[in-house]
Amino acid sequence: MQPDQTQYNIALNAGFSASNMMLSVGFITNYEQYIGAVNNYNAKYYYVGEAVEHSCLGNANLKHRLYHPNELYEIGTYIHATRPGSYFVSDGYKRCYHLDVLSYYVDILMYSSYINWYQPFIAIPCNPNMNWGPPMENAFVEGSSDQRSSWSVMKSRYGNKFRQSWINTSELTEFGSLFGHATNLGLSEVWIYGFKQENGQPTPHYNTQWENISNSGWFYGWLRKFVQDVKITWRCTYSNPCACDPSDPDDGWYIYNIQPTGSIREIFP
Amino acid sequence: MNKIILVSLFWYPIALGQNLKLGFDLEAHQIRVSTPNNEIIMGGNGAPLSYHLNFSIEVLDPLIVQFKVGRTLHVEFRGWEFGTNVTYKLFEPIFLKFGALQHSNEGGGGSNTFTETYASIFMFHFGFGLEVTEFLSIGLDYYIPTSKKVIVWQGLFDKEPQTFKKMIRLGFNFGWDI
Repeated sequence: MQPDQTQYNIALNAGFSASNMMLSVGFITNYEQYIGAVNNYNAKYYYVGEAVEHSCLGNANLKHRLYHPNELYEIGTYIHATRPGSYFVSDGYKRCYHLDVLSYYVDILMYSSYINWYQPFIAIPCNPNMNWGPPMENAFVEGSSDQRSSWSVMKSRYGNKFRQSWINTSELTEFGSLFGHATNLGLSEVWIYGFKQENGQPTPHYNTQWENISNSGWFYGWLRKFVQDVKITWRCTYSNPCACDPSDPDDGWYIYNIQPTGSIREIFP
Repeated sequence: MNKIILVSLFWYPIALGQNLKLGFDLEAHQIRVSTPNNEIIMGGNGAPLSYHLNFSIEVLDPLIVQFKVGRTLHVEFRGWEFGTNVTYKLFEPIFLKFGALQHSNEGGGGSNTFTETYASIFMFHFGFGLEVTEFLSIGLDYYIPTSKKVIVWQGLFDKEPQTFKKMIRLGFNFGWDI
């Protein structure tokens, strides 16, 4: 789908600049729609999700396009010509030949899975059945839920092209370790994937997860945290205000007003 | 005394059995899933294989009961499996098979474009096979689940479910007398 004009404007009006935005320019049926997206929307990063990921049978995943190297070259060249200073970004997770090829055509290659993938000790061959690349490759196997070792492999394999990666809002307890590892690997940006959960509904506990993510990001130096003192005015619901017990906040009290004092300061871990 | 009788009753058919076999199998499968728009062969990640340890008892001459436990390697269909089946020797070397399999899809993993889903799938299967040697048999089975369960969601933004519909498995079964 084309980037949403309304959401794009909301982001700009909220204070985000185009230099902090990444827009999806991947289209399933007519990949050339990327031209309109790049022309109409200014952004620092243009993203084609998992451009070469494929199944063991060589098919693209459902609702997904399997790009040919010529198409990747065309997209990257167009982005650089139309938006100098912008980057062509893609990602993947099975570190096979096709991901190596993808790394030639993109400026930034991220890791898009939230688990560890590895090549098994005993190679199990697959037939990718694609019209480019080798006809056979090894099947990659899913490992533990800790993807940090896959991040490390991506770094050693793709160097500075792996300078950004994804963290999913559904990670439960890994935010800290992932932000920490991103620091250790020298990544420059981390993107949060929290569009929707798998059944299309908004991610549950959305605000709680964002608080966890933000706190972990702050703790490892990826975000700055600012606090502001506020003056809170409480009032008593009873006709006789003396009937409210000052020592019991549940005894008829309600918050009447929260007034920021204007005193903002940064706090550090 | 009751326990002794119970054990004796359990042991009786085993003691009568001509063969106890212990072994393993390797099975290749093809899964058909339904999407909101059509029914397709599921591609997915990893190899479409499963492996099991198995234990067989020849209860009566033409009947063999087998129990098995194992796992699948196919990522979108990854999980533990427990099963049992009855083999009926039609005539040498052909046999018929009927059984049940419990597959526990583990879910929880995935990437930006796919998410595996937790699902408990109970299915019946039937098929036929061929005894190649004393320790190797090959079988082809057709699996039908008792309920329709979503096993994976796919798509970068608009995610679509894939529901397990049916499965064919080609199995290589190794077993040795114990």
